[in-house]
Amino acid sequence: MSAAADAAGVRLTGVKKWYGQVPAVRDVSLGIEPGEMVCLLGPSGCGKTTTLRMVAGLENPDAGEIRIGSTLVNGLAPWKRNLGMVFQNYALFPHMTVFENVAFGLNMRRLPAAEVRRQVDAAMAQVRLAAFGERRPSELSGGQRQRIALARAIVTKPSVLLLDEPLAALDKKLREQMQVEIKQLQRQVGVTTIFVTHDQEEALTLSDRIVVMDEGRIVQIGTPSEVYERPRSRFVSDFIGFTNSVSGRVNSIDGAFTRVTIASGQVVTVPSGAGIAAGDAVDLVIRPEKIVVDPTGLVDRSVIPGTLAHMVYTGAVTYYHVDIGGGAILIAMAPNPDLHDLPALGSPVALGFKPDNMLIFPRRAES
Amino acid sequence: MAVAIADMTDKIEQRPRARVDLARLTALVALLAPAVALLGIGLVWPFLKMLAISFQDRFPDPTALTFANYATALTDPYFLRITLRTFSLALVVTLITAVLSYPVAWFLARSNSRWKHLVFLAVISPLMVSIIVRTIGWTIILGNEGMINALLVGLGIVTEPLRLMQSFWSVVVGMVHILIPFMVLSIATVLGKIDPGYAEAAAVLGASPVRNFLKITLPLSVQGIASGSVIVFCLTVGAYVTPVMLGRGQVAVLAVTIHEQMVVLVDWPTGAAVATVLTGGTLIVLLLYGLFLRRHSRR
Repeated sequence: MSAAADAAGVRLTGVKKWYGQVPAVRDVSLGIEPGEMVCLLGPSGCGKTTTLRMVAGLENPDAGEIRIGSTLVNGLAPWKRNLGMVFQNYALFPHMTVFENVAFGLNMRRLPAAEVRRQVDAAMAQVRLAAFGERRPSELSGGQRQRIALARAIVTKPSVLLLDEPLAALDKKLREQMQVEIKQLQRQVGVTTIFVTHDQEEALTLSDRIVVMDEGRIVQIGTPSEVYERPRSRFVSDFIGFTNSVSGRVNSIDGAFTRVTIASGQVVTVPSGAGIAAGDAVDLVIRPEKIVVDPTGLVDRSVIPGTLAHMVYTGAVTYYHVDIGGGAILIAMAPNPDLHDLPALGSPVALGFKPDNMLIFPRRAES
Repeated sequence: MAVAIADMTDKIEQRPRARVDLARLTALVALLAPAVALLGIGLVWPFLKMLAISFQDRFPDPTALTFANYATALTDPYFLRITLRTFSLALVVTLITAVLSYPVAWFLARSNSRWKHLVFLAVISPLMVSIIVRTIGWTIILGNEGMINALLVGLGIVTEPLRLMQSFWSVVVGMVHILIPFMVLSIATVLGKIDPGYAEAAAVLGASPVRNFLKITLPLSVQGIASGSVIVFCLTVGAYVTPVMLGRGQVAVLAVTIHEQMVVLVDWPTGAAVATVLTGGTLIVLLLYGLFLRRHSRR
């Protein structure tokens, strides 16, 4: 496959879109490198699908510029953009065979029949469905339809591949399997890929970079680990992964460190956050796997004592819900490497964490 | 003890099931009976009666069974010409109706325009007026002293009024007007159910709007055109009022001929044979059409 050479970057500059009076995309600027796999992640209604559809040409931006490669595509019809797209429900043409579906884009480009057959066969072999050409889409399973939709999208060697919630219609097991397949296929073909999802795990697994969107705006762009480990806002930290939060008030700020008095009355020292001043109401946020239960013998750990309020045993790991006083609960996640006795409910538990892992955000108004 | 319980459960399980089946059967019969009776008395029995008459040498009081009536219906140039005209009329009307209806159906199914409801009303409003009234409307427009001729003569474009009525095409105009709602509604129903995602997918794959329509939307909406065509074809082939009023006796069709043969000439056996030819011919056309569609719209 030599498609990597044709891969084009995508650049959105100040893109806006309204549906009537409702702003769907407020001001999106985003650069995607050739060959990169970028995910637009956010809750429903955040504008991620609208953004994707504008790149596809299925919607026109009301303001701003969209460039594919060096071409300004504003107002350029979708059939002139040389894109591949997988729709959420796949949109396989029901009146055509699987072969005819995959061949459609090549036929629209008026390739000779022999060449069409060669390329379709290659694409169908690539998604491991070589023998399914004569079937109807209705005779395929969900996973097979998904793979045919992928084959149909990549067979034309598009400059950009667009995936709109490509795995939403599949069950969990199949979804995990398809995540791997999509990633491998994308690496093989080397095509610039934008995909849209509301599933944070899918975004973390598949993307080179994640674009987190909320209410029509980009709230953070970063690699999966940046977005997960260093969320820039409470929204991002809550949307990606599971978070704990403890409310408190800033006691004093000493350069890189901020001292916060939490609800239980204890003072915790954490790295300073932007835009936070002494006296501010804040939320301290930490991932459950960054908290150690019973940190005896570990250095560089802040320790908070508490009592075990609840336990959730999930096999591989156990979640310890610990009451640290003042109505605050912190959840710690610990793996279960050996057969061991779990502590009894109500027993005292010490929680340890590295101050670096504790993030500080302005207190969010509870709705 | 165990045996006794097993025995009991057997009885408990069997009895209610049998009762439900009987109740269902009774309900089914009761629900179907009126329709079956109506169709039997109003359609099947008269049709069989007509079929019987078509093989009689005279009616009433037949003396022998004969194929002579069919020989007349199928070979007599007079009947042949009328049969041919009737079926070509139905074919032409169906074609024109389909072509005219498709864009309107498209608009109804896809547009978000605020005129949509008005267009829908305009499409179905002819159904609320009697066929006779609508046909008389056309005589006012097409007649020798009608609107079009008055306009043409008044403007000095022609000196003599054109003979717009009494022709095959005046009947076509009337029939198309009367039957267009059926076609529009049939096509719009199917178009409305097609996922717009198919056309979007085709567009992203490189299909221009024309090819998108020909390769995706048209094949997916064939079922709507088909059901509309069946309705329009059948109603045209059996039409009576419009050919009589707009053709003014110059455009004979089978329905009119059958009526003349039976009621005016009191030749029931020949009339019955012509009627059977009409029914049989229509069935054959529909069958061929169905086979054609099946071959061209595999799903």
